[in-house]
Amino acid sequence: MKNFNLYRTKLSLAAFLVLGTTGCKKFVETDPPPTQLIATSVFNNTSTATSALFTIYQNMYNNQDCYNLELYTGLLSDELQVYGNQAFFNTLYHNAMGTSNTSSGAINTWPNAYNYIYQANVIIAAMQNNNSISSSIAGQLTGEAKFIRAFWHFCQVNAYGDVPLALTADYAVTSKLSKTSRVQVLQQVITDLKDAQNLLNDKYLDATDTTITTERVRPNKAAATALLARAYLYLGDYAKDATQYANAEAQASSVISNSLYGLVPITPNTSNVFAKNSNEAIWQLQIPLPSGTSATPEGNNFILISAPSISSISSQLYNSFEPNDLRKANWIGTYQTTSTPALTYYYAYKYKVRQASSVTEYEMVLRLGEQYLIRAEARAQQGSTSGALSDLNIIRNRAGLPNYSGATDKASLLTAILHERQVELFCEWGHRWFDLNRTGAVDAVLGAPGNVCAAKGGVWSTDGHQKLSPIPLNEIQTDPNLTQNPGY
Amino acid sequence: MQSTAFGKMPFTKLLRIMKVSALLLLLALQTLARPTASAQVTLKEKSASLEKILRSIQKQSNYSLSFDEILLKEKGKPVAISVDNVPVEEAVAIVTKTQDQLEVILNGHIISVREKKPAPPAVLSQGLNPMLPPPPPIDISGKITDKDGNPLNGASVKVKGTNRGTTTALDGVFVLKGIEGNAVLEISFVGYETTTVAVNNKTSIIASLNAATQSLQDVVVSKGYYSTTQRLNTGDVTKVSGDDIRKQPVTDFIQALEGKVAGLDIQQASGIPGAYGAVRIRGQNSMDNGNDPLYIIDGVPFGSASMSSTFFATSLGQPSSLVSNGKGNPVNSNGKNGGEGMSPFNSLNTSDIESIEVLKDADATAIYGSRGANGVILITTKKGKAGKSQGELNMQQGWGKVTRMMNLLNTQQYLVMKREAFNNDGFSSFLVPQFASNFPDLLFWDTTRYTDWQKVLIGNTAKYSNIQGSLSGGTVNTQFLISGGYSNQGTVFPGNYSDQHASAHFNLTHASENKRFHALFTMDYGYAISNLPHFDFTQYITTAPDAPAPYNKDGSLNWQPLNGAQTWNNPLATTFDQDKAITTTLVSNLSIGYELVKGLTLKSSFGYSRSQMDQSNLQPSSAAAPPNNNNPTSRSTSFAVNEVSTWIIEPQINYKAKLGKGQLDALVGGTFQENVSNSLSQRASGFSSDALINNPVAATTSVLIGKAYADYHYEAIYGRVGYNWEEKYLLNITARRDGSSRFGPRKQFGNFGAIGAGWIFSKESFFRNVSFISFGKLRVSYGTTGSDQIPDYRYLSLYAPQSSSYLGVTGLQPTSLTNPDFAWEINKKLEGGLDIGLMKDRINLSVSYYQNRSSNQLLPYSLPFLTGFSGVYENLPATVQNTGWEFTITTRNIETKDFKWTSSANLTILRNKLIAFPGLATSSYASVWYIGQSISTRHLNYSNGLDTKTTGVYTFQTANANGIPSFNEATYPEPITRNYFGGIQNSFSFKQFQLDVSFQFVKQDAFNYMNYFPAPGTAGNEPTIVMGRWQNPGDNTNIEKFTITAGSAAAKAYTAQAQSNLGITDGSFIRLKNVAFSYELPAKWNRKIGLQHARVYLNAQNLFTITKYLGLDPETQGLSLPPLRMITIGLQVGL
Repeated sequence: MKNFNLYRTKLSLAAFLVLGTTGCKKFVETDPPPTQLIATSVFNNTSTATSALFTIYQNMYNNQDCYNLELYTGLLSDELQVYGNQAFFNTLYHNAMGTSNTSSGAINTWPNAYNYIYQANVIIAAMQNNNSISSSIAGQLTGEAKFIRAFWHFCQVNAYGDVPLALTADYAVTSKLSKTSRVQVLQQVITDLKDAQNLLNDKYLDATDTTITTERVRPNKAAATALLARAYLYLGDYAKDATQYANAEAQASSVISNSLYGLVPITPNTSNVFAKNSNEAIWQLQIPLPSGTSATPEGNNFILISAPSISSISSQLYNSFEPNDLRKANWIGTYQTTSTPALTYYYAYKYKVRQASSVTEYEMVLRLGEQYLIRAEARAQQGSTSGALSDLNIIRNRAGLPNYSGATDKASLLTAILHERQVELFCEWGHRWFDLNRTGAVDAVLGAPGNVCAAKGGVWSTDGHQKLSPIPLNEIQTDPNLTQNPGY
Repeated sequence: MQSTAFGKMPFTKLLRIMKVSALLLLLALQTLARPTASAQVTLKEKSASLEKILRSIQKQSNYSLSFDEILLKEKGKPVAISVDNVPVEEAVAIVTKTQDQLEVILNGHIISVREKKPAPPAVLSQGLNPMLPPPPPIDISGKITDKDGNPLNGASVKVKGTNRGTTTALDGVFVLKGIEGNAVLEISFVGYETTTVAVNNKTSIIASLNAATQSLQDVVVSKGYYSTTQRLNTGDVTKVSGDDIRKQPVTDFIQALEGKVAGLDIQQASGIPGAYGAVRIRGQNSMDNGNDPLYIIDGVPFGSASMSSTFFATSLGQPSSLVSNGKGNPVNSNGKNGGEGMSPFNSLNTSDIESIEVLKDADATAIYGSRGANGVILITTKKGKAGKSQGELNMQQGWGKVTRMMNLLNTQQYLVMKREAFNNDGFSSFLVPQFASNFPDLLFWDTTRYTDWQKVLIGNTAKYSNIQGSLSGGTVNTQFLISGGYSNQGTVFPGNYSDQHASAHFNLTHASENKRFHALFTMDYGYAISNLPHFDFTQYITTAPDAPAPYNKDGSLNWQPLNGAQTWNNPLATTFDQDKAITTTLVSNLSIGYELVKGLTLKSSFGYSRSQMDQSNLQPSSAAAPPNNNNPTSRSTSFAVNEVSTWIIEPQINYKAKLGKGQLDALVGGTFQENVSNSLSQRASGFSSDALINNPVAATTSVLIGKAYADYHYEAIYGRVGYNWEEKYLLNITARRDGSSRFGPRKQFGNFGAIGAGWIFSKESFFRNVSFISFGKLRVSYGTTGSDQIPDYRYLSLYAPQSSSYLGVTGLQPTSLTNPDFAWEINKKLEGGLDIGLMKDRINLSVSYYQNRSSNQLLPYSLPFLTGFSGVYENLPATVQNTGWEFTITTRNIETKDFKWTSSANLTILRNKLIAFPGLATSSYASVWYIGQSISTRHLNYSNGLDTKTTGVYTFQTANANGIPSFNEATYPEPITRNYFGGIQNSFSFKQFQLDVSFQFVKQDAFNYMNYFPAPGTAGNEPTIVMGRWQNPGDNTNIEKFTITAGSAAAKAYTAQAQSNLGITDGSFIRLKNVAFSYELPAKWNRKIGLQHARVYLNAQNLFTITKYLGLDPETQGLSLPPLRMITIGLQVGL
């Protein structure tokens, strides 16, 4: 045992070697990655909080949500003719939506819509009692977030019917949501939009959140009002609640009377309705920079420079224009093949730019023309024939058409307005498909024997399941409280 | 300074650990009791076995005992002895007298037993002439070499029957002075058969030793932080030698392990060189998370993740059909497990591998703690050997082909199918010129053309060449090895693709003169250039057989345009793309050790590794289809640089001592490790010319699309105590306390440990009479391991900048949902094993049964998109159980001087089961997993088969009016997994010829061809089997009628059928995995041309496959490139 002391010295040395090499740093605690920000620091600062909001707009553009909705609903309704033998598009065209992603198509706004709603919910929560951001800016950001939440819930009810209402970012809650009725979702949309109206600036703001700009790419109060007008109109239809039409009329009037906005003449050149920051624009999506094509997805995909590989304008839509309609002349493009005999294809030509070196068009989300048609319909629903006609004719006259001269009973007027919406709003944000569904015209247009669905090679079922998209299979499988739409 | 070395570990606890370690070592030191100089023994036995007597002497004297049990059993005589307090020497002499065939020898403090040598004639003559004086002593010198004449350094030369002896020097030379002229020399060397040489008054002696046939039980196995022999191993470790790997012409060593190791399941994703395969040790433990083993190269952990950039839409060198199933597991298009991107091991040179150890059970893996749940694969590279410098050169050239093609429709059959499909659906009216661009195969193309697309796309010969050289040598104290190599593997694809590797390996070993200081330095450097395409051409073999010629006369791509638009997707368009990946890999390790006092060694290893991959993908406009082909935006380029570097420091104290009647081995050590990964990627487009696309500066648009950074920290303290009592009872205890930065605060640390025990029952006295069993060991182990195979930072809520700006401001996007509280997945492993050696270890049999239970399942919990994301990391209360039987048998069938035949076989039977999941019914997985079923069980539709009477469409058990089952009716459970698998190897050598033959077999179910071919008629070419389709009521067939519409009832039924009980087929196969034939040139030829040795060889991989599977290959399945049949010839010379 005499060597014990020696051993002990050496042992301590060894133990030091083994255990002491890290000094006193908490070795396993790493710093957050320098390439990313932690959530708390994002919302401690006005500019990063604004960046978090802008991401939603950027994503909406980059994910081509608008173009996809236009293409899918265009195929489902009577706007587009399918080309190329792709199963996904064929099943949409045949009104044979299904849940298998590989062999059947369906409207698929679901994942993106709820991702945007999640981001909006995070911002809404982060702006509450936020000590680092001024209350006016926090209000503006909250208003935009509520607007986004309303916008996408609105889109969801129209695509899927009853859908879950996601009002929190807490996944413990949202992962177990069940469906809320379409009417209740619309009511929440209206609540959110009213809040947004109160919070948002009248004018358009730039990225500083304080300076006014001519770029109409952040929702302002008028954007909330315009969407609110539309939401009341839809609620009136779906809830069979006539009182909502007065609300729709009031909100639409508020936008129409706003001196910021005016109808733009329909001309062949690019300084059109859809030009960036056009006088008619209430809210547009800016093309995020840098951009490969400097063109909108619509311009890039709809405009034909060869025979179509996905879609072209259907004969139903093409033939529904009245003679001399400027919209047919200027918003429908023609591609003629060089073969013999030459073949002619038509395409949506609202956006003129297929590819360019600089940006001249933005993707339109809300525009004044629709507000006239909303008010016309709301007035017609309330029995105000002259008011309805006045609004309808404003749109018709701009398109180079004479005043409406048909029957002026309520039903005829509503039919005339539905038709005017068809030719005015075609290939924009799914309007046609949503209009057919909310007005109930879908069965007559698509389903009557020998009608559009049959002409497309599909079968219109009497159970009505084809009016709604199937809920994505993943959702049914992962949320035990969610049920599939009937018929799928 | 307030915090402690171990983060959250309280200082007092740390102190306690230190105290305990110190005490442990101290206790061990005290047992270093040395035997006293004049040990006395007392023995009183009437008839005891020799062994018992010897053990009794050992017990009383504390001397060491060394003997061959079999020898004692066979030749020992019962001993009658009665002595009281006599010196050991005397007792030994008396015992020897009781024996007629054996003698007991005392050499210092070692008692050993050997056979009495037959009395030499000299003794006899001495006996006859007792008066003659003994002959005078002589001086002799000599040289000891191996069979090939290489000098053996350090061989022991002993004068038999005495204590005299020496060892050979570097040049194999020895000198013995003053020995008797009639002495017999006993020459022995580790790894060689001991031989004896009679001196016969010669003064110069040259002897050569034959390499020993090593008993399997004597093989040294590494368990990472310590080594043991297979005999004394309490755990389950399988060792594969580098030679076995090199017989297979593959660039990734993982592929060479297929069918070689029980419990190791390897599934290649594709036959593309360097493609990542799935590697599973004992099944899938984690339901939804990393299941990769831990790889350690010379002590340095090596990331098993592919280096391919995550920013690339499809990884280079990899079929784009490989996608993630959204639940964390990479799967290919058929849902089979498989990795993504290029295998990280592709740049590691197989020639530099000395051996590979696969660690399987808790006893072997618990010392790896939080990283050992899925097993550990240790890769040891070659080390230099002392002796004259030796050069080796190995050259190999090979040719590879796809082994199996499918029978697909020819043009005539194809047209029949399509036209019938139009008729069936009533769409013949669409066959008019207006729709020529929709149906060009019928309306526009030359319908008399026929192209065998399999031949065009995957019918070429892949060339393989490989050249390796090495130089090694050194002195007794310092040895070195330098090696380098180059290999080049082509593909069977059209186009000039290759995967080239260059590598360098350096190793230096040094020991001080007194052998107390050791140092070992190893460095591997690999450089690989691949221009493999970013997708697998195989997926295009379904191109219509009447499709146009792929190229125009001028060599440009033919798109057969109609009205300005392409009419087909030219499958060769990608040959105009330029993909490139340059990977450099450096793995280095320095290990130094010092023996402080006898038995106590301080050691530390310092490892560093770095991998870098530069990728580029250039898309010129010449690869684009009209109308976009002349557009600047159709020219685009992606660049990515990815790098990962790791450093690791592992200090360690080792202690060995005799404790009681046994041997104690203890170690305690620590690990500190950091991994930093970095990546940057860029995309550019809008080049004015194809000539400029290499430089993003020339682009009109250039975007930085991603910069990623991750820092992983890991620390641990580990220890091991091993005790072996008389090589009979074995005990091994390992423990580890681990911290990983992948977990949030309070969840970073975990404790893991295992206990293993072994009983070598063949050493028991009651077993002596069972002579045919030469070795028998029972072993059992139990312990816990964990897994931290999740991405970094997942406990933080992070926002990542976007690569584009809105209103001049860059967006910030949330990257994931966040749960700060997830923690380790816990894997409890239980194993029992039996190792048996029969007939003097000529037959070795090993049987293992294990039960692994993985609980607290950590996974990206699938969530509905309603939450904004598809999942979040969480611990599920689920428990997954893997149980299995593993059998390994190795036999030395024939061993004669000229002919040797050895065999080995292994079989793995594996069962996976979800045994608990509280709350399953209300979780996201209610329709994915079921209690009591395998987690790879798929739930399928139940098909009633084809309605042959009326519709010719598949029918199902469903309540749905449209006849297609909804998802919740898919309840037919079918585990899509391997039921059992294994391999059989035979090795023959006859004189200079050597032949190795390896088979691999797998029993599995697989989805049949319907899963990767669409409904016949809807798109593309089909297998010829579809021509047996239903046409008229009453047709007796099980193949559905043709349909043209993807949305038709028939097409939907086809899809449902593919995912039904009838869409499953037997995917079992037996593959002749490898045949290696070689011929060693006779030594006298070699000497003439100045070579040490020379060998010519022929290796063949994947020669044939026996299977009933309808498809290209039952292993890769689907439309991905099957493993190639590769035949190589080679020459290996020693300089």
